[in-house]
Amino acid sequence: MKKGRILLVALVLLATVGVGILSAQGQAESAKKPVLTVWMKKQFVEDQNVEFEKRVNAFAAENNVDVVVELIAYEDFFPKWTAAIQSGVLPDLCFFGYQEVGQFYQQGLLMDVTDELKSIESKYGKIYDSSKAAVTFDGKTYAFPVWGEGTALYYRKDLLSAAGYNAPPKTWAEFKEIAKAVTDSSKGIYGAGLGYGAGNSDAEFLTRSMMFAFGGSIFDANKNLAFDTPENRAAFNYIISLFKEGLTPPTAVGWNDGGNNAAYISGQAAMVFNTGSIVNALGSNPELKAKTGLALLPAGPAGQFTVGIANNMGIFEGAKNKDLAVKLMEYLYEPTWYAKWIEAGAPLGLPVYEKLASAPIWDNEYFKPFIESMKTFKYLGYKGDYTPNAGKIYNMRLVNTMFESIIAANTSLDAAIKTFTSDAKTLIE
Amino acid sequence: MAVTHNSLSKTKFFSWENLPLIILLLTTLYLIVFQGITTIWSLGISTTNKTIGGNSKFIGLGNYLKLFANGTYRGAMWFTAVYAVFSVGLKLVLGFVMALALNKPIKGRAVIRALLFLPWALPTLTSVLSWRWMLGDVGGIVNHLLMTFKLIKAPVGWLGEPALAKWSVVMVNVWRGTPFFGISILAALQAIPSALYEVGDIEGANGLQKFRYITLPQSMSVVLLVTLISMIWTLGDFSVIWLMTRGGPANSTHVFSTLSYITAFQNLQLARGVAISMSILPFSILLLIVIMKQIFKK
Repeated sequence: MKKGRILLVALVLLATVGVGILSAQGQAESAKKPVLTVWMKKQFVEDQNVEFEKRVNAFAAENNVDVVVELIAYEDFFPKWTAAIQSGVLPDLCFFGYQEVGQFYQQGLLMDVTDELKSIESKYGKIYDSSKAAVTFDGKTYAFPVWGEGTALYYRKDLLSAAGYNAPPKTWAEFKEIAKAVTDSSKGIYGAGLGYGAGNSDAEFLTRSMMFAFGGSIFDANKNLAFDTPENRAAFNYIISLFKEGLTPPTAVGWNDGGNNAAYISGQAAMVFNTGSIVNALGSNPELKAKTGLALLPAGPAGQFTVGIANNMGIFEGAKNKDLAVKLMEYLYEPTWYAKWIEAGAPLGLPVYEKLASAPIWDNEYFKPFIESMKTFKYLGYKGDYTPNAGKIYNMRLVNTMFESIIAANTSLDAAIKTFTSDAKTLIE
Repeated sequence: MAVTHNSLSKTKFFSWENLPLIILLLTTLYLIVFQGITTIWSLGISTTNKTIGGNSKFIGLGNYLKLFANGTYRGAMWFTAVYAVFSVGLKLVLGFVMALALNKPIKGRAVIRALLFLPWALPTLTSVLSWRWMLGDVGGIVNHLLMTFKLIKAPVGWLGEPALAKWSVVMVNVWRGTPFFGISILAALQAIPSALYEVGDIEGANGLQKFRYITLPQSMSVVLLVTLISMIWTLGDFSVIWLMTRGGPANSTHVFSTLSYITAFQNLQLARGVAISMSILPFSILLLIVIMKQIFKK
C-alpha cells in the first residue's frame, strides 16, 4: 500500500513535468514570430523610459515581431553582460557606454555597423563625428551613438554676487579665487563642490577635464601611458590645494555620484560640476533654480576641455536577430520621434544629430552650456583616440583612487603617481 | 532466481525505511553537481587567463602570484580578515547579551523581541542604504545629531576617511547580524532545563558561576554553529560593503567579494576575479574543519 502511494506520487510528478514540457513545445511551435530582446539603460527622466518602450512596441506591431524590453540601471549591466556573453544568450540590441564598446570590441564581440550607420545617416542626417569617434576603432564603427552627455558648471548666483563676483569663473584660477571668497565653513558653505569616492564616475570624468585643461592627460598622442608629466602634476597640485585649503566640504572624499548633486541642492556647495541631472532635479525647487547659473567648464592654460560621455546601442556578433536589430535601430533614429525623446530628457541627454543642436529648446539658459560643451568634448584616450585601455582605467576608477589615497590617506603625490602607473600598466597588459 | 532477487532488492531500496538514505544520496548528488563541480570549475578557471568573451590559456598559478604582488589585493585580504573577525566577535557578544536579556520574563517581551529582530528581517538593500544616508555628510542624521549636541564642530566623513569607513561597515554588519545570534542563542537558552539552575541555587552558585558552568556549556554547540555560519557569511559578504563604500575610500574597505566583482565584471578579467574569490577557500575550509571538530567532540 505504501509502495503504491510512492509510485502514485512519482507518476503524478512525471505526468506534470511531461505535460509542462509538451505545452512549452507546443507554444514554441505555434509562436513563429521572432522575439527581439532589447536591453536599454534606464533613464533618469521617466518619460524617456515610457516613450522608449512605446516606440519599440510600435516597431514590434508594425513588423509582426515580439519584443522583450528590459530597462536596466547602468551598474546592473555588468553582471548581465557577463552572463549573456559567457552563456551565449545575448540580447539583440543592447546599450553600451563607449568604454564597454571599446572593451567588447577588443574581445571581438561586437558587430561592425559602419555601413548600417552610414545608411542611417544618409537617410536621416549627419551624426556628430565626435560621437562616432568614440566607438570607432581601426576605421570601423562598432555601435550606434544614441545620445551624449555634457558637463557644465553650476553656480549660485546669489552667493557669488554676495562675494563680489557677478559672473562665473572663466578659468580654473578664477574658480579657486571665487571658491575662496565664497567659502564660509562656519555656515557650512563651501565654494568648490568637488568630491572623490569609490565608484564616483563624475569625479573620474571631471578630473580628466581638469588635467586636459592644464595640458596633461593619461595617454600621449601615440596612445602610450604618459601620466607622470609636469602638466599633470600641476593639475594634481591644483586639485589637492582645493581640498587642503578647505574649499571643498570636509566629507567630499566619500562622495558617490549623487554627492555633488546633494551638496548643491542642500546649499552646502556654491559651485559644482555635473551633467544635466541637477537641472532636472531643480524642476521641483524653483527657488533654488532662480538662484542657479550655468556655464561651461573653466579653461586652463591649455584651453577649455570637457570629457564627453557617449551612450550607444550595439549588436553582439552572436545575437540571433541582427537584421531586425538594425531595423529597430533605424526606427529609433527617425528624427521626429528621436527629437521628442531627446527633448523629454534634456538637458541630460544631448542629440547626436548635428541639425538638432540648433533646435530652439537648447536656447534655454539652463540647457545651453550642455549643448555648447559638445564643442569642447574629448574622450578618455586623449591626447590620442579613445582606446579600450583608456576605458579599463576609467572602469577601475584609478584616478579617483589616487585622489582618495592622497586626500584621505595622506599618501604623497609621488607615491600616488607611482601606484597609479603600476596599476594602470597591470590593467593594460 | 536472479531476476527475483534483483526485484526484491529494488523493492527494498525504494521503501520508507530507506527514505533517509535516499534523501542523503540526493543531497550528496546536489552537493557534487552544484557545489563540487562549480568549485572545481572555478579552480580551473583561476589557473587560466580567461577574460569575459575571450579565449583562455592555462597559466598555472600566474593569477595568484600577480595578486599577491598587488597592494590592493593584499589590502583586501587583510580587511576581509579584520571585517570578519571584528564583525562576528561583536555580533557574538551582543547577540549573547540580547539573548540573556530576552530570556528574562520581562513585561512586553514579545514586542521587544520583535523590535530587536527587525534589523535582520529588513531587506539588506533598504537597511544598508538607510545607514548610508544616516552616515552621509549632507543631510545625514548622525552628523546632524552630533552637531546639534555640540559633540562635533563640522560634519564627520564616516564613509570618506579610511579608518572611519572601516568601522562604519563593521558597525552596520554587526547591527544587521546581531539578531541572528540573539534568536539562535535564545533558543538554546530556553532549552536548558531549569533544574540545572535550581541545583546551582542549592549549591550556592552566584550569577556569574551559573553562567560559567551552566549557561555557557549548555549553549556552546549552538554558539559554535552560529559563529561558524556567520563567519562564512561575513567572509563572503558583498552587499554591506558594496552599498556603503564600494570598497573605498582609497580601496580601504575592499573585501575579496567586492574586489572580485570589480575585477571580473567591470574589468572583464574573469579568471583573475575568480582567483580572488577562490583565495578565501582555504580559510573557509580550515574554519569549517576546526569548528565542526568542536561541535562533534561534544
